[in-house]
Amino acid sequence: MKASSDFPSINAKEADGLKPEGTPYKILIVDDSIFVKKQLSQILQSEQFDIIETAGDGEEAVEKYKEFYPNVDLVTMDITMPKMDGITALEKIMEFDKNAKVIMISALGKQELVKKSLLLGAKNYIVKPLDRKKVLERIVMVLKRT
Amino acid sequence: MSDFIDEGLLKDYFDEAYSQIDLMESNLLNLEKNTEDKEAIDSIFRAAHTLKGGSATVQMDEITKFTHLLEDAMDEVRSGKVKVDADIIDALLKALDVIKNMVASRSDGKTYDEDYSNTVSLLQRIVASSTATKKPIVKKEEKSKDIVKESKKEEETVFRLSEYDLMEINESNPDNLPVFKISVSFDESNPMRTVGGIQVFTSLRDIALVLKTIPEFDEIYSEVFHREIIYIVASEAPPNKLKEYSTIPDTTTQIKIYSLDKEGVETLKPKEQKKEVVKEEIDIDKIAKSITSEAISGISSTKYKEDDFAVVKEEIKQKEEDLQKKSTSSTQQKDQSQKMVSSSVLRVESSRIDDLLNLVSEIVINKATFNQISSQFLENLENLNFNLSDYKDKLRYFIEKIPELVNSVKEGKSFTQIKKEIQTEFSILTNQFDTFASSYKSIIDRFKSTNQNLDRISSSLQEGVMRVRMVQIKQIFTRFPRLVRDLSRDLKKEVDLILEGEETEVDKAMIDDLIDPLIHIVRNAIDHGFETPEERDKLKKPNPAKLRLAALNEGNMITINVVDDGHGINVEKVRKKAIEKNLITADKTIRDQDAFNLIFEPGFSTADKVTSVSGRGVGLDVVKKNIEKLSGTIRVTSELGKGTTFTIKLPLTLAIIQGLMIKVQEEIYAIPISSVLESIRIKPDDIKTIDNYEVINVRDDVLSLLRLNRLFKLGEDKQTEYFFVVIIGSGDKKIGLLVDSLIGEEDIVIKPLKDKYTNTPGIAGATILGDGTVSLILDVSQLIELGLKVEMESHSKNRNFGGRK
Repeated sequence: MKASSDFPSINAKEADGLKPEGTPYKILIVDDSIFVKKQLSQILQSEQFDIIETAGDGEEAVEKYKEFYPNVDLVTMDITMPKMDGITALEKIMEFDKNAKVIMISALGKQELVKKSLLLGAKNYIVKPLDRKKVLERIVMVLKRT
Repeated sequence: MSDFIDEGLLKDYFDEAYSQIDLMESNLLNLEKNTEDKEAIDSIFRAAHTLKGGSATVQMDEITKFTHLLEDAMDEVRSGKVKVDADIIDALLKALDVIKNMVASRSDGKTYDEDYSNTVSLLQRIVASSTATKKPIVKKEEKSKDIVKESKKEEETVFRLSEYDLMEINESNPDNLPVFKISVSFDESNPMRTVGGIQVFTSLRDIALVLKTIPEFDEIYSEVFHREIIYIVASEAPPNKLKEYSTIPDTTTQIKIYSLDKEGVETLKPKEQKKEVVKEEIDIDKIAKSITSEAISGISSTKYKEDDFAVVKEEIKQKEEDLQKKSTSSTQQKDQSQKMVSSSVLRVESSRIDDLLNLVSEIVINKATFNQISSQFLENLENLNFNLSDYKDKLRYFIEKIPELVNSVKEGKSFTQIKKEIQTEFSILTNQFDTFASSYKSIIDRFKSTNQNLDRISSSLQEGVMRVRMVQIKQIFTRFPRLVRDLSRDLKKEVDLILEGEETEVDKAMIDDLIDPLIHIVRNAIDHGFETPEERDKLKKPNPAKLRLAALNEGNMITINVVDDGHGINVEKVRKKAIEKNLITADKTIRDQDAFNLIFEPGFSTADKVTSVSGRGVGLDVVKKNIEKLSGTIRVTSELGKGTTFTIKLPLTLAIIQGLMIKVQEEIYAIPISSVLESIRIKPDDIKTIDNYEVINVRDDVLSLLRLNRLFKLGEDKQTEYFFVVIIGSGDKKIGLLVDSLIGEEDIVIKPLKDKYTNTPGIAGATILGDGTVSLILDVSQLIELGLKVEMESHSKNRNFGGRK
């Protein structure tokens, strides 16, 4: 007789988007590019994350964050955006909720801006062009650190 | 392409790319007007940046690279290192054209293959000029090359903090938390490698008090890459937790953690340590080992990955080439799928959709009311039946009772008594149906009002759905600033473009077909309409010349005016040219308006010489045709020396028009009401014949007639007392349609005809009437063109028939 453990389950891996108790993490995506928004959503949704809302500029992001708080687990924040840039929005969000988890989405080479946002409280950053594996890895890392 | 780029995503990419390009263009033109426009510079930069990001994701490398260059150039402009001047604007516009072409090629499924190295060097010059004009800034160099600073400290040497440092550390650690020294090595190959130091710093900050860093924080924050950074932290967290928090994938390669005692001396030498610490140390060692090995394998694996990636890339390239060589069919398929991507997308304000939903919900309520009414009608019917049988019974009883009453008269009963008897027993007969009548009336009232509601809702629904298809004319107007700028430069003219009514809305279907005619007219105006600046000076006309492009809503029509203040149309010149081209006879005198209309004739151009821009004679006639295809009209008015105005009138939408319904024999036709000038009633005697044309006199004007029954071969002419004549006009031509009767105006929904019927002359489409029958819609301009010819033929035929008889 073989124990069931001898047959590794193919779907052994849990979806990244689920909390240990099984409910999905709630994500707010902020990006002025519809295209990036969609791409991020696709990546995250494929791992069963719950995209609760998307925002197209900093002002909207802060507004949406306040609206959904405390039902937001993580925000992905583009840095260059019209109206209000991502760093200012990050500041505002951190002012509002010092435990906010914000991940910056930055273009390659914007090292100063990334450093600035990290000091302001961003938990991590992701470089564009987006790489599925890295996106998930960084987001999961931030979420698991509570 | 990577796994998560699907067609929908590509479509979004192209959508966004085009909107970013538009944004850049309009801002560049703003910038040209005001070279200090900070906002314009910023938004061009942002647009280039966004486009770059998007292109990189969908792996359109040539666009990524090129937009990156543009972004760099804009960055220089933004930081004020480069002053905006005409050359720079030119270079940027050229770059924008390259991007446009690249994106366009990509959306056709091809890669842009023209040489654009000129533009590349133009952009590079912008970047280079900033570094050349200013003293070479060290920072700048660092940015591009991140000087790698090696940490001088050897790992083996005993780590010691200066006394001052120690004091500082102890001061900022009042709770006497355990102090650790964390030494972190960073991956040099990370493209964002200078971020790592800060990232570890902020990460540690979550669980520890970072007391000091070596090198100093400012150093870490600068753009210099440090291979190793030491963090002195105070924390209650166990070392493995510290390790976890200082480990960042792709960024850190090795982490070493040491405990520090009060004197700042490492206390991690196994011999000197208590058991506890030893344990911990072993732990740390273990973790350290695993992590370093992990990190090392991480590095090597990333390296492998990179190598692999290159190989894979090569393979992909190879495969792509093979594919292209091998089968043209597969590339065609690819082309097709790519083209599908570029199919049109309509962006609609969400409020418009909300309005529609609102209306739909009203319709649902409306439907419910109708249901209620219908059941009330049924109830009423039952009520009526009941009353009716009751009524019949009573009537029967009454009839039966008559003999009895007659008898009682005979027996000597008085009339008043009988009358009273009848009244008490049968008065109910007179108001038997009163309740029914009143309830029936109330239902009818309700039905009427509900019907009115339905009427209102359906017409707003119709309007609402139309509004979904409406887009702002801005979409095409935005093209003109650039066009006018380039043209006026090429032709050495100074032109100021004024756009008005950009928010006027036009049917989406029309927008695309409107661009070419408009461009043509604008070109014409700049090329032929305007004088050169010198001439204008002589004529004391203001420079720059003014070109006004204005759109406005007029009831059910949209009017677009193109107004220039150039030299106007020279009637004499037009006349001569027309005679030369045999369009009119030499002895004919023409009115100004007729002369203006001649410019819409094929092959007509009064320009003395052909320029690259216009004047080849294929021109305004095509413009006119295109506008008429949209069931619009175009007119031109001009005043010599003062300018020319082109007026284009278009219906709001192509899908629903107002039609005048007419009847010919048994057939019902619809004529677009916009083409109907008037309708009159005539007697058969009023029809006169001139040169085989049937004509009538309308207010001193002679109008040729067209008998629809003959044109559509519906049978012999009817002999009636009166005919109706609908006078239709297209442009400045008029014709009268002889019809049997007029039915009235109606909103008609145009249904396109299948291919095989589209060749039927004089028919534009079909519509379905309220009772379900199909009615054809007449094509007015075709009728006018056709009418005379056919009428003449049929006339001669008729005469032949007559002759035989």
